Amino acid sequence: MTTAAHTTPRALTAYLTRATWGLPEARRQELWDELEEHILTRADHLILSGLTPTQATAQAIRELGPPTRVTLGMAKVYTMPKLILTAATLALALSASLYALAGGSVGPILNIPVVQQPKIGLLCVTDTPNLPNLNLPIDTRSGGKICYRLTSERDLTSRPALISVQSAAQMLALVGGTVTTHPDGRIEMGRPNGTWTRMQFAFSEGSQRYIFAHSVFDALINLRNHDEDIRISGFDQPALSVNDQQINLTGTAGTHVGNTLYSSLIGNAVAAVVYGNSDSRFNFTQVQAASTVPAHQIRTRLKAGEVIALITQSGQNSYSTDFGRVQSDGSVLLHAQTKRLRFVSRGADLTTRRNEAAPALLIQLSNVPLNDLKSGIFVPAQATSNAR
Amino acid sequence: MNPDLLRGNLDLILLTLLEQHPLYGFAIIQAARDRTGGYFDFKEGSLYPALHRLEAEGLLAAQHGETGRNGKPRKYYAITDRGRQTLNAKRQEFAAFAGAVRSLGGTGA
Repeated sequence: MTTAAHTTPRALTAYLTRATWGLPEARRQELWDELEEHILTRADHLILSGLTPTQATAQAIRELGPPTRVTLGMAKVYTMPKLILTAATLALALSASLYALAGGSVGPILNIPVVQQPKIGLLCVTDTPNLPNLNLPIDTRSGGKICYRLTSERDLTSRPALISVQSAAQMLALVGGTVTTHPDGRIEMGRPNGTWTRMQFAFSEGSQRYIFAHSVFDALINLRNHDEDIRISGFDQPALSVNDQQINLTGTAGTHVGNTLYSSLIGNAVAAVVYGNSDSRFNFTQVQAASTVPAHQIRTRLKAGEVIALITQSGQNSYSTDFGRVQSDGSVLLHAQTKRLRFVSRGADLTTRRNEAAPALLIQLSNVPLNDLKSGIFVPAQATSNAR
Repeated sequence: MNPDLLRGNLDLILLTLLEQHPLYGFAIIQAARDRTGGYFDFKEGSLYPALHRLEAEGLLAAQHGETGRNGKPRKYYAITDRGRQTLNAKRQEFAAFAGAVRSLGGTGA
């Protein structure tokens, strides 16, 4: 058995503190020792399967489930009087909030409406020589920008999720970012120190300008300071946490919002787990579900709704990806280009060998710090998967 | 499997797992998984309150074992005489229930 040191005592201590909250001291210490032993032992197993100590401890804690589940269960065992139990339950709700705060965010909530691109209006893009032929009437073309006129639903089959410029400014302000709209329609998102990203697309309807939700999300991630904790959870109406602030993306855009945000995370995930976020050029494609595409039903120990990405290598610096939501039975359906997968725990192990099952990496994208996507790597109980 | 089935029969499963020899928490989860080919996959966060409850009810007794990864003695759970009586009663109860379901017909074995 390995004696590797575990490097996240803070996460472990935070979990144990909350899981044992409110118990009589003797019981508290007993349960603390028991859970600590459990997490460290499980982490040792995961380290043997290739995870780093930090990843292993994080996964062992995740597998144990929310600390409030333990605390409430224990509170029932050590029969507190009803009144105290009620007070304890209330306090635990607070404790749960504080836990979420430590791992994500529950502060003042910022509700940001997300809309789908209306059927009629203007679709504006930066005017470049390589512009695809959209076969739409041009409304204006000036200042490096070209705007097409949309007159019917047929004009745009995929209606992307949008956020107004004002809402984007509210979101970026959380990481010290700003949004500037130039008279020619260009929209820049940046920091006062000059770091900025330029929006490639904008949609306008009347005086209201909208930008793509995933572009704002990208900007939020790229403009943050490295120590700022940003996480995403949910899918149809995702919530973002930025340090101690929660952002609820509301609206009726349905799965478009989750699809667009998690799609934009895939590139970050490849960069983080394969290249260690160093400047590297790589390609990645998302495998489209079809009857001829191998579908892998993978059992996880994660709770329903968590979003999982699957990455396999499809060539030199090329990756095939998919993502999906964990179902109520803990399984997730993910598509890959190959029928046989072998799960690995490091980006460095993704190189495919002829006549062998393709190495595949699973990463939890939701509820993990986006500045440390490596911490979302996990290996399922099954070592391999054969597509159904 | 349906998690309600696991929850509803948790005491029977835990007492059965500990019938032969004492185990500590993590080993109980592994034993449940190994002996059922992964069919019983406990939510660990629910396991420890259940073990403490069975101990408080006198069906299990705690014993200290070897030193664990955190440098402290592992807490083993051993079934008590009362626990064995309860296990027998729960087995009969479960067998009667399963028999009644079978007698309803259908494709059940």
